[in-house]
Amino acid sequence: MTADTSRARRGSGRREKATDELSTVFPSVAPSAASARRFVAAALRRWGCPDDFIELVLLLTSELVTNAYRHARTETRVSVRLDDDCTRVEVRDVGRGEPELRPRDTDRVDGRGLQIVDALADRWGYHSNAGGTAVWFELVHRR
Amino acid sequence: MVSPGSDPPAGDDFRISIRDEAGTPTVVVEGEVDVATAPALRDELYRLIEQGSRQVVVDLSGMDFIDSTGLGVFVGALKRAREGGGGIELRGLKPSARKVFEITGLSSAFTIAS
Repeated sequence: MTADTSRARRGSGRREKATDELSTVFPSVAPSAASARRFVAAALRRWGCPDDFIELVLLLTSELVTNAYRHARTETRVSVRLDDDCTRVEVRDVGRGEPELRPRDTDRVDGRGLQIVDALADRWGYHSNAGGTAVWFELVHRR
Repeated sequence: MVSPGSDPPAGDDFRISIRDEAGTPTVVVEGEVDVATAPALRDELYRLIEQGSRQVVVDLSGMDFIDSTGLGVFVGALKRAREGGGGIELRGLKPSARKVFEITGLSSAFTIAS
C-alpha cells in the first residue's frame, strides 16, 4: 500500500450518518488488481462487512481496476466508501476514454468486465473529464 | 480469502500444476485468476491443446478468485479445443466462481462438473 492513503470519517446530512472512506493509488501494473482487492477487503473487514458481501465487492473492484489498467494505462486511485446504506467503490484513472458496456457474446475472450458490474452492482456509472475517468459502483450494504 | 494482516504480494498464491488421469491431462489451478495471473494459465491450456489433448480437465477446487479476465482465458482455450474436436471440462468450481460463469452466460458453453 502506498503512503498516499487518506481517511475521512464524518457526519453528513441532517441525520446522523457515519461515513468511512479510504483511498489509495496503485501503479499501472497487472498486480495492482490484486493489490486493490486486498486494499478494499482490508477496509471492508475492518468496517465489519460479511465475507460474502466483501467477495462481491472484490469481484467488481477487480473488473474496474483491470479496465483502467488495460485501457487507460495510467495510475489508478481506488476509493472505497461505506455509509449506512451502501458501499461505493470508485476507480479513477488519469487517461481519456469512457467505459463501454458490450453486449453478451460467448465467443469473445474479453469485454465481460462491465457486464459483470452491470449484472451485480445496484448502481454503477462513470464521469469523465480532462483530468481522467472515474468509474464507480454501489452495492446496498449489509452489515 | 487472505486475511488483511498477512497479505502476500500479488500473485504469490497462484499455482498451476498438471496431473495425468488415464491419458486426460488435468490442470490444477490454485489461487486467484486475474489480469496478472491469467497469461500463465492461458499459456498452459494452449500448450496442452496444441500438444493434441482433445479433452482438457481443469480442477478449480483450489481457485479462490476469478474475474472476467480469467473467464476470457477459458473462453479462448475452449475455442481452440473445439477447433480440434475437443472440449474443456471444469471441475470443482466454488459457488462464487460458478456465479461468474452463470451471469456472463458461459456456464452452458463448458462442461461443468461438481
